[in-house]
Amino acid sequence: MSAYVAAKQAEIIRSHQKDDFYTGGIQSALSEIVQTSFGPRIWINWRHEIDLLADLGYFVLTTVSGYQTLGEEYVNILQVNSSHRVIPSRMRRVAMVLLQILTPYLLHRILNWLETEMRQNRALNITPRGRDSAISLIKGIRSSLTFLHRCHLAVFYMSGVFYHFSKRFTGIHYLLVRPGMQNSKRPSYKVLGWLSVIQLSFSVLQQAIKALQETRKASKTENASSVGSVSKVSVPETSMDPQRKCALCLETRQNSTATPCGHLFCWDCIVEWCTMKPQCPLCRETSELSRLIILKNFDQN
Amino acid sequence: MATSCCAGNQKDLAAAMQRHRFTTTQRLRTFLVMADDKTRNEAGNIRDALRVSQLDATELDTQLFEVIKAQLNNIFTYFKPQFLVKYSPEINAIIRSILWKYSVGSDASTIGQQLLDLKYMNTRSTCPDDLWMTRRQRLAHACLFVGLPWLDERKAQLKASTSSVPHSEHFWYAVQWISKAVRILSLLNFLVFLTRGRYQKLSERLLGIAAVFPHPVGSRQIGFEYLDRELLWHGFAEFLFFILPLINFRRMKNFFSRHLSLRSPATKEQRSERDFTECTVCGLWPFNPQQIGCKHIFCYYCIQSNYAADVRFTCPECGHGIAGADGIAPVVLETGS
Repeated sequence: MSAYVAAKQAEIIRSHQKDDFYTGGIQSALSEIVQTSFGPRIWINWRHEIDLLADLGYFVLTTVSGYQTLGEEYVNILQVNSSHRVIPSRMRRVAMVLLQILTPYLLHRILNWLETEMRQNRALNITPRGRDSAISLIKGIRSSLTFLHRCHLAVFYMSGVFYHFSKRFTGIHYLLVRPGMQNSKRPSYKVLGWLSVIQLSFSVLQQAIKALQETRKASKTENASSVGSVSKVSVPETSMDPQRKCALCLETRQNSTATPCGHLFCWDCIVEWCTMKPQCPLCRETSELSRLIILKNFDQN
Repeated sequence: MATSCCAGNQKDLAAAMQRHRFTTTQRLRTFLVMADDKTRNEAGNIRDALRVSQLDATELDTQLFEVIKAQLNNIFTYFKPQFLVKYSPEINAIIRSILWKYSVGSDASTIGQQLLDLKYMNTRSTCPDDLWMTRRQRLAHACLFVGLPWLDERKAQLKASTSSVPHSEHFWYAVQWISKAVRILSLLNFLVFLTRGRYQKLSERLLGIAAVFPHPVGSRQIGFEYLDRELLWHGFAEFLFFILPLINFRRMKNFFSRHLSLRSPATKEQRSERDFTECTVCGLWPFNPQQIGCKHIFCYYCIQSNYAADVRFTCPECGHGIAGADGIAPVVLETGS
């Protein structure tokens, strides 16, 4: 029986929470200094870089220079390499810190840059259609990144190693250094992992079904494009009568509908409101959805 | 009890740490775990406090101050609101000085440090027998702990009241620069503290006092109940929020009521006058009355929403089905019937 056991999920998560707390403190201190010395405008332009600098400072002074981070010290865990016997080499630690801090920042920056470039740069020689698909591709990359992150988290809940991608790439494990104290019975995080897996697979299924339906619909509308769609009747702004204004959308009422208290709104507006809160938006009298009365032969002059 | 295998591991780890120059805190930390006597310094059992313990002590101190302040505010709830606001810097100073009197003033450690079994040590002391804060250090601590925050909070008023004094603007300009410099220096101090593990606050570095463990301490025990509970419940809740909208409760309810209850069919001809006054779904006066072929009447919203949720919806009273979207028709009163 070894005195050193691999750290469990709870310790690792707690240590990261603590680290986040302290880096947050450094970030806000640095932001305040920048704001008071250079003004808020410069701070807004550089706030991501300031946060990056704070994070880098924290991890360079702890992990890279060979100390535990504050969170690791709090829960008594130690970084070791995959042999569980040796502290990871400095190169490994540097790589881990850079991966952990720089990758999200660079990804965010690159995707943002690409998106603005796609939206605004007229010099690029692409058709509007190609532009739209590129933008949706960027959005897809963003959502798949969060999806990947959640998958990784689910794996972490089940296996108990590698909370971050950076730790997985550099093979940095955690060791619990607590003498004589065996871990008491704790609820297993595997349940949490399975829950996340079920949820993720469901959401993938949902997305796939939605995409399938959309492509079907798109092909249908392409076939039936000659029919022409029914568009909303637009009312000229100049003929706006305050008596016929809907208090919710502030435009001329379409399909006037009365609440039990007698106030009039558009059908769409009041139904949307009442599904959220069964109350008249003007006088707060209760008005269930079933109690709304659509006024027929009312909107015509 | 350590077996030989365990001792081997410890040696490996210790050697690894030596190789990578693990200094002060981490070495101390790990050696504490190994119960190595060499880490005790020449003064006996005194060791530098852990960084997290020092930070936690500071956090506890601020929390304690907030608690006292909140209680005081409660006492003065029914007084004029200006009273507390006007004298709040002075009140804060009084609270701080009382706190100081019964913590650093008498015991050489703040309340938070007492809770975590820490104590301030005089790092400039040359005599090994007297390691604790001197009287002068305590008074200086009082100045920094009570006086400076008061000055900071009173700054605006003092500035306004001394505006007639010549050259006062230069003084306040300097104060502004000093407060800026203090901010930068305390951030730098914190960064140095991360690696050195001593002097968590700028004032401690200035006074030459460092928080230490006066007695040997065992390793810290951390309760994970809250974390476990929070994470698990959060996971469950998120899962439920995700799953619930996917379940069509109306359809399930309709399915069970269709198969479990005994119902007798009722045709349109059996409709009495009472049936016109009640929606079968909501039990209220039917708005925009609709019928589906049986004698029962529904609100437009009630029947349409139920049909949208479940196309196999049947009349809850008699089990009459709906024949497509055209099966729902407005009630037309036949004249002469």
